Amino acid sequence: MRLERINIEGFGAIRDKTFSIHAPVTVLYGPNEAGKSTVLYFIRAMLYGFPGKGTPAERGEPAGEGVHGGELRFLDKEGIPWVIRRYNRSREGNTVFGKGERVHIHRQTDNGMVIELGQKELEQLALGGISKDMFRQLFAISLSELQEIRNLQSAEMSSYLFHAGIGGGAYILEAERKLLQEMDKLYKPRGKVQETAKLLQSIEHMRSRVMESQTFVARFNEVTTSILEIQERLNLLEQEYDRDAKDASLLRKALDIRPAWLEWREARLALNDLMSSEHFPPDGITRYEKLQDEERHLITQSMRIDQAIEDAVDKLGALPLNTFMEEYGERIEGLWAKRSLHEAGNRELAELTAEYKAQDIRLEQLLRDIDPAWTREKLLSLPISASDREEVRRLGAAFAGYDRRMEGLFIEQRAAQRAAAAAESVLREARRLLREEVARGQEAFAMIKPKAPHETAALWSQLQLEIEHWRERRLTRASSEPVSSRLTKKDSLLPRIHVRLLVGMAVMTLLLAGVMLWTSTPAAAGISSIVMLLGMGYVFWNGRHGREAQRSASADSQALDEGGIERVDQLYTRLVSSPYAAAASENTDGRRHQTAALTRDPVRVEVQMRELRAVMEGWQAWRQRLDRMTSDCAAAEEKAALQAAELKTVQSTVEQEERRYLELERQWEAWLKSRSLPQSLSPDVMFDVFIKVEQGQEFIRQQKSLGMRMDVLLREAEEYASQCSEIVAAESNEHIDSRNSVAELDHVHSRWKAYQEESRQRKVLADRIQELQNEAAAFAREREDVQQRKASLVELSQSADEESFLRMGAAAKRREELVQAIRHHEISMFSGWDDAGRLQLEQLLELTDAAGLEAQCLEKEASVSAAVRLRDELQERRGRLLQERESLESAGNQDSALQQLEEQRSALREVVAQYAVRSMASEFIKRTRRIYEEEKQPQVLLLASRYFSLLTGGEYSRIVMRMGDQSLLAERPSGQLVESSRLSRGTAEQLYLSMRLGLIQAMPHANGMPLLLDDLFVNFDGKRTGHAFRVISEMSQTRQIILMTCHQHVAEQVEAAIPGAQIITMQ
Amino acid sequence: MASFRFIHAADLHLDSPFIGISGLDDNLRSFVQESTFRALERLVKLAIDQQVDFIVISGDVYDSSHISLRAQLRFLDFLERLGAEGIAVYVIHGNHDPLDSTKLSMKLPSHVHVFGVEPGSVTAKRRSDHQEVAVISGMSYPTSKVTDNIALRYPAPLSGLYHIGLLHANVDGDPQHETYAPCSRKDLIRSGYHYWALGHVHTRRTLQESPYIVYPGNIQGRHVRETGPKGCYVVDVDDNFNTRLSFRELDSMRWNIIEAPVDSCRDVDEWRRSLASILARTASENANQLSMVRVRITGRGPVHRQLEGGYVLDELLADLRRKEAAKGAKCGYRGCVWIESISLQSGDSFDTQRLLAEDSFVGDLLRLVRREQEHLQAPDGVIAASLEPLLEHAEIRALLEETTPDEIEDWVRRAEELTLGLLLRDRLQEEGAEP
Repeated sequence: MRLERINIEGFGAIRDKTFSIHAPVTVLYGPNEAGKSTVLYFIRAMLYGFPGKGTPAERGEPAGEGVHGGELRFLDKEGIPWVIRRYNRSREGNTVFGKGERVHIHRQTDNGMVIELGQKELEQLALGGISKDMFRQLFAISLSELQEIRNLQSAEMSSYLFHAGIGGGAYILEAERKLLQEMDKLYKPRGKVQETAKLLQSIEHMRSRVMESQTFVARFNEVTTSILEIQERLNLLEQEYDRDAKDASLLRKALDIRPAWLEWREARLALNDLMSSEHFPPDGITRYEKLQDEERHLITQSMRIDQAIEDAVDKLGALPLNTFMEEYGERIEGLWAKRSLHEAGNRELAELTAEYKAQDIRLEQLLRDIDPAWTREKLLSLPISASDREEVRRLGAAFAGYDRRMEGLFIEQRAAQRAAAAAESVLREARRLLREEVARGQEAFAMIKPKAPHETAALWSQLQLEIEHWRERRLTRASSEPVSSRLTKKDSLLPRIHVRLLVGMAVMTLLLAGVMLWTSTPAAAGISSIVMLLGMGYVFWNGRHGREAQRSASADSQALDEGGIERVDQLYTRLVSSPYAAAASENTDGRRHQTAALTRDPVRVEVQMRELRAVMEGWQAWRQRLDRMTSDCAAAEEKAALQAAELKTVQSTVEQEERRYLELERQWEAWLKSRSLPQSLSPDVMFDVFIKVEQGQEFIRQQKSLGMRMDVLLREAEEYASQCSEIVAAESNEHIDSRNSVAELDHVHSRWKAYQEESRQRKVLADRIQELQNEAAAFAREREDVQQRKASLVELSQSADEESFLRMGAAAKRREELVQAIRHHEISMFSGWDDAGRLQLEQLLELTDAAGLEAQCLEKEASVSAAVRLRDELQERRGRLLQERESLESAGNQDSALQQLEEQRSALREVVAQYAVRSMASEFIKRTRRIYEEEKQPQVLLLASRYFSLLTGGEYSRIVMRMGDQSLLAERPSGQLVESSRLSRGTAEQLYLSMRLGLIQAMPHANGMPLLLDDLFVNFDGKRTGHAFRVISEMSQTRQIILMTCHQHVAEQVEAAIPGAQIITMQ
Repeated sequence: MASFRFIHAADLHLDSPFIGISGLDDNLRSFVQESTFRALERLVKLAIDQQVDFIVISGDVYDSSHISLRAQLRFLDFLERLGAEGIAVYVIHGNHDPLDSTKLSMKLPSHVHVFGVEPGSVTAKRRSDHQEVAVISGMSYPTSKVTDNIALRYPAPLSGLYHIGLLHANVDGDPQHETYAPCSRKDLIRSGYHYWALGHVHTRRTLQESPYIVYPGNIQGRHVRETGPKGCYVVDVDDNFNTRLSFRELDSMRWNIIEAPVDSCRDVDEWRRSLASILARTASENANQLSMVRVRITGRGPVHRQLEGGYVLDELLADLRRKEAAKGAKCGYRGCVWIESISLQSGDSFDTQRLLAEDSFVGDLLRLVRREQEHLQAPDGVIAASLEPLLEHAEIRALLEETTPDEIEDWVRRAEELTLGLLLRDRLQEEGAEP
């Protein structure tokens, strides 16, 4: 690719500037801010697009308004021209797509056409597939990029840096890294978390445990020896202890029992001094005392009983006997029992008396109701049998039947009277109407001659018949005349048609004949003319015949007309006359004239007839009305007669009924009289009387029974009272009113009750006295018995009297006590001691006093307890030792520390082996890598080394790359390696430049890509700058080179060193 | 002349720790720890069953100069039980339990004879009739280090009885064992003894049949290098001193090394199955013992990489151990197989020769490895450099000092395989994808 023209329309500070480049080496020379770097950035931007806003210098957006972008023309490898125009769209006001740019990439084709391509094609076809970054880092470099050494380490480039055979060295490094990682996991010299560290730790632990277990044997021996020693000492101690303990116990015992021993001795002495009491019965004193107690008790008892008897007798004396009560008690009791009955009787009597009185009043009322004059006797004497009742009912029914019938008859009679009156009035009306009608008819139809209506009718019908005949005749004539006249008219018309027809036919016939002849068919002509002639003849005849027939018909009817009219007139006159007839005759005269004339004019006849017919029709209607009224009148008459007859019949029936009523009245009064009842009573009322009578009789009966009951009750009450008074009298010895006596009975009875209670108490007391007396006797017997027993007891002891008995008893008791005490002391002192021990004790007690015993005892006991303590201690020690030995034994048996140590060591060995293997592997790789780094340099480094050597003028022979960290080293011809970081600035830059040049040259696809170097040589000395230009000159053989510088000497040097270099001076 | 029978045992190493095993649970650990005592128990039973007249023990009754209490108590018990049967016991102490080691202070029963620091002789009697049948000579190590040829100092046979020499020594200087009391076979032959009952070398072997020079080996294997059946000899001597030996197993735990090649396996599962069948075979071959197995994974194949990286082996091991532990806890570990360790000696399937010739990073690396393998001990070599960080810790330093050159070589080989695997991952994947 060769840049030809750079047209900057607006980029950074530059505006509308164009550079044309034609030399292999071009120098852009200008002072600072002339825009050299801007040109570099512009070329980058043109080829790869505007960078982001993060790098404003490289983006080159103009400060002011205006276009941002420009145009770049170049030739590609094949020499085909390309044009790139690129503008920042946001500068064109299209702020929405701020980042966008407007790009036009044009390439000329072989046939001179221009095609437009995209960025991708540009990079592929013209830029050799070099990425934007690589272009920036390798092809268009300023100082700042040059110093970014890590740019060389991108994966993209590293493939150029390493030998092809080892795949860029990545695997080697990865393998090394992996090995190191694994090694780190396994072991680190001072690591804490690695497997080895853990193992070592546990080995350490195990070792200490092993050490511990190695002491087991010695310890075991020690322990065993100690146990034996202790056992020995224990045996000795045991013997000593036994002896001391025995002594101590003897002494202690002696000391303990000494008080008891003293008492014991005393008791024995006392016993020896005591009087004899061998005959004293056992428990003598107790028994004696018991008997004494018994006797005392018995005495007290009998005294108590005597007292009780006395009390009871006193109480009995306070309750005297009552003779009256004894005698009458039973009767009082009986009367008291009946008392409630008596009171009930009294109450009933009172009630009955009240009822009796009420009955009386009701009866009085009843009697008054029936009749004021009535008495009980009447009431009682009135029989009320069923037949009486029947009789009354029958009469009542007869009265009721009469009333009913009379009522019906009255209604009937009134209806008949009303009907008769109505019929009469109808008759009158009918007659009036008839009269009026006759009068009106006679007035209206006065002209009609015949008086008899049937005559008139006959005349009229005859007239009508005549008229009909006449009319018929007239009609027949009238129809024939006009026809003939019409015919004549037709006749005149028709012949014209006939004539024309005939002429036509004739002509036709002639013509036809002529034609026929002419056509030489004489036969046909002849026939047709004959036919035509025949037709003509028919037409002609026909017209003549019609006219003839019509003319003959009208001549006959003229004669018949004349006779009919006459008969009509005749009949007419017979029919109509009087005032009307006069008027009619005038008409008739006229009509006659007219008739006469009518012979020629029948219309007048018709008018006359029409008038007559109207009259006749009115007449006939009147006749009919008349007939109807006449018959109505007759019917009304008949009905009036009928009603009158009916009225008469009804009245006779009424009279009959009244007669029968009177008869009934007589019968009823007779019946009442026979029963001496008031005459005013009606049969209906009689029934009420019956009921009241019955009630009254009932009342009387009830009163009678009440009276009887009252008598009985009265008698009973009196009897009861007399009995009471008898008793009361007997008690108080004075007569008392019987009524009061009943009340007094109350008191008597209560006294009787009290007396009964007293009697019961008296009985109880008597029983009690009897019991007490029995008891007293029993006590007396018992006392005797006790005294006897006491005496025998005394006798048994052989003592003289009771006093000596008691003394002997006391002695016996004392002896018993002493013996018991001695036995008790002996038991408490010597139980559990054999005879020898007892003897020892007794001796000891005899010989030693209390203080001596005490001292000896304490001494012995102290020595015993010391022995015990020592023994316990030794036993405990022995126990501990035994336990220790046991635990040692079991620890020894269970000890697996050594085995575990070995296991851990095995594990460690395994880890160590793994580590060793990896470490070796890593070392092998490292060493081989060193061989590579030192002896086998890749192509890039070879190239770079050459450039470096050239640039430094042979000061350094080559560049070496260390594989591990990929750092670059400069080697002097002596073989001394200098790290790039230690190089001087200029030399370092030369080294980096060499690396870049080497890389560029090593990229086959980047052949011919232009190289843009922006003032890279500022740190180069003059000599090396010269070397640099030689290198550039050499490189310019294969690619276009553009240098930017602000140093005039540089520009001049280029001009001198590279003939044909183009210098573009920028301002 | 009378016939008799005795038992020759040596190197009881009672309560010896078992080296190289790890990951035991408590049950199994106690089983393992008990195994030497169990062997001792079986020895008692054997002696009683076989009605032997006496037992000779040729040194190393205990395992170390710090003799555990348990070991001593159990041994005492052992002696008492034999004493109850009237079986005499003749004991010398060896380098692991010299006379100066801490012992229980106890009086030995009369039927036990422990030889002193100077060679001495006692006469053994037949149990049945108390007839004297043999003269037994021996000497205990006064300290753990006896470096002179003590065999020469043994008393010369005098009577016409059968002479038995108890000697704890490394005859003819077996390089695999520490050389104590060095002596030659000739020395022993020349002595005129009928039976040299030797101890110290744990591998059972009969050096000579006339006279008999016999190492019975130890009674219980203690680590993976002590493979195979372990026990003692029952020796029958007839009237004419014709000696007949029969070996009797006493061990309850047996060590094995098995190989599980990865060559033919396409994936880990297949290999796992093959390993399972190999283990099953081992179990059935040792149905009465617990088999302690070291699995050596050999061969080359793609499985290697999966075994080397990741946790496949760890998980597999844990799984197998868990299963066996569970099984063993129920059946008393008879016929169980416990994997002591897995030794990964296989490699990935690449053509090392081709790689060696390649001008590539791997080629250079392989060539470097080959150069290093020539000089394992070089102080500035890869091995020294890579082990250096480990030396900081005393415990590890001690371990590394114990490490044999073989082990180092093994590590280097594994490192090579590991490196190749890491570096050629892509290439292997590509190759793997091809078929």
